[in-house]
Amino acid sequence: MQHSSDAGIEERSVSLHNVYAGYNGKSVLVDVTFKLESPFFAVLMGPNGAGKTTLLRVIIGLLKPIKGDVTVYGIRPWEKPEVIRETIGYVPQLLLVRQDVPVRVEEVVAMGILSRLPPPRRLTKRIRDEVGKALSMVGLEGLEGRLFNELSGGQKQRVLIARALVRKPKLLVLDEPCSMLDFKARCEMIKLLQKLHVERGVDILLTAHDISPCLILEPTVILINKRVYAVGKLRDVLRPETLKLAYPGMTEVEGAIILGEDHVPH
Amino acid sequence: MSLINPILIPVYLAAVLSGLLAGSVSPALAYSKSVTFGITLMHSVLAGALIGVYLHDALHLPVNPLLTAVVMSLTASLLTAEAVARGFPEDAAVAISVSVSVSVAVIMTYIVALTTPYGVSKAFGYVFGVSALATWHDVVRLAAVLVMVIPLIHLFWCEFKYVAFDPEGAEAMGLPVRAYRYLYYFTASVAAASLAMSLGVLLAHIIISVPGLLALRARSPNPFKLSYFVGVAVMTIGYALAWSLNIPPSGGVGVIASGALVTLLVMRRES
Repeated sequence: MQHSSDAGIEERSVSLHNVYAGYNGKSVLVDVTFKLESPFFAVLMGPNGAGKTTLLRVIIGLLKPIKGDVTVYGIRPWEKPEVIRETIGYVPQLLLVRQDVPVRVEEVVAMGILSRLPPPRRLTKRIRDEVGKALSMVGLEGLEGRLFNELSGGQKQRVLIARALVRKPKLLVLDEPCSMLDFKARCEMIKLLQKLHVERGVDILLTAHDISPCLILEPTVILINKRVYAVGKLRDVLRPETLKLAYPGMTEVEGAIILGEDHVPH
Repeated sequence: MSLINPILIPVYLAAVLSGLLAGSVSPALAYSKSVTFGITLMHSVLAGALIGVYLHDALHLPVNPLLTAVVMSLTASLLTAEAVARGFPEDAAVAISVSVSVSVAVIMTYIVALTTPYGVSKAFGYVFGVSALATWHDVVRLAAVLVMVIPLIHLFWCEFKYVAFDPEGAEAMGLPVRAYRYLYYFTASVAAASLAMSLGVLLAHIIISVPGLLALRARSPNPFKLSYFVGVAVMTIGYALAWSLNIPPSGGVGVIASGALVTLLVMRRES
């Protein structure tokens, strides 16, 4: 896939250095530092309130850090938002999308293209063709005319991914793409993301509570709870002594680990 | 009085235009969970009318209370939009602007009562309206507002709907979400203020919410056909009913609108 943002991108990494970010002057993220070299499939893992969504908002340029430096393929997101929007496809949490607004699947996906154009934003044949291609990438061909709120949770997530893909991004950032899905649907979602990563060369960064569907992919895991506790491959990060740092409520029971959702910062 | 009396022509024309105007802005308000925005308008128009009456009658300044009413309702709409932009849910944002409008209205009621003999009742006249006495002047004003509002709504409908559907996603894709919010609250406020001047705020409040709610319930991606139809039907049938039963027009429209809302309840229960 030719990424719309390839031109002008020299550095091939997403890098955060001593980043502090939050709301109303209060830091949610403390001294966050890590670097992801492209190509990457990375999972941000941490308990509720760990700052995962805040970190994504910093990376996509919706939130300027209080302190520290962020570069996405060599670009500071808040300095060149128009370039970042072409580079990153963002998939928000399904919970944040209003389900009662009657919008057709086609309209949702088309907004990925229409948002680049000035008003009046109307669906043309070219845009419909692009929408059809994006929907077939996520396995939803033929659903253009359906209402978004009539779809299953997994299909809704796929529609939002298609909306991001229609912009041909270099990096796909997904906030809890597996929430509200059953285990089978989670595994299918991760398989889809893996396919996009391997076949189309899209870097993937997602947040997750439960990374078990991702285990087979050996992703890079960033363990976070306000600050980053570990970055690395699964087997290096998912160790009891490391997990305990980010999950203070973690309990070990005869070889098994129960991850608590306590997010008291250290 | 006969239903086809020539004196009623501007009244029915005003009813049709009001229905169209309400039908145009109502879906945007319903989709963004802001149908209670009518309450903001009711109180802000009262507050603005009281300020205008005070300036005109007590201070003898050349100020038209209708103008101050419009300015106050626009201010309240901008306050609502800003509150939403700062992260308040739509209903909380409406509550904030209602509180401010009510506070101004209460303070101004006290001041106007102290300084003018009939000022308070004059200002309340704008709230309860004189829809039975719609004039050609009202028809022209409604038509002028209609010409401005309808193209704006249709030009930006795609964006209004998208901002209501997924504001964070829209912002991430570069849509100026805050600007669109300002635009639709502003547009709704202009339409509602015009409706309030012609029909009275109580009637305007009813008519501005019903078409959008029915369209939202019908789950149509393009709600305007139904919204315009409901707006015009509620107004004209309501007026005809009022004349037939010799009750105030607001009452007739209220009865029809209530019937539509009961239908909505039945639809909700059955689905």
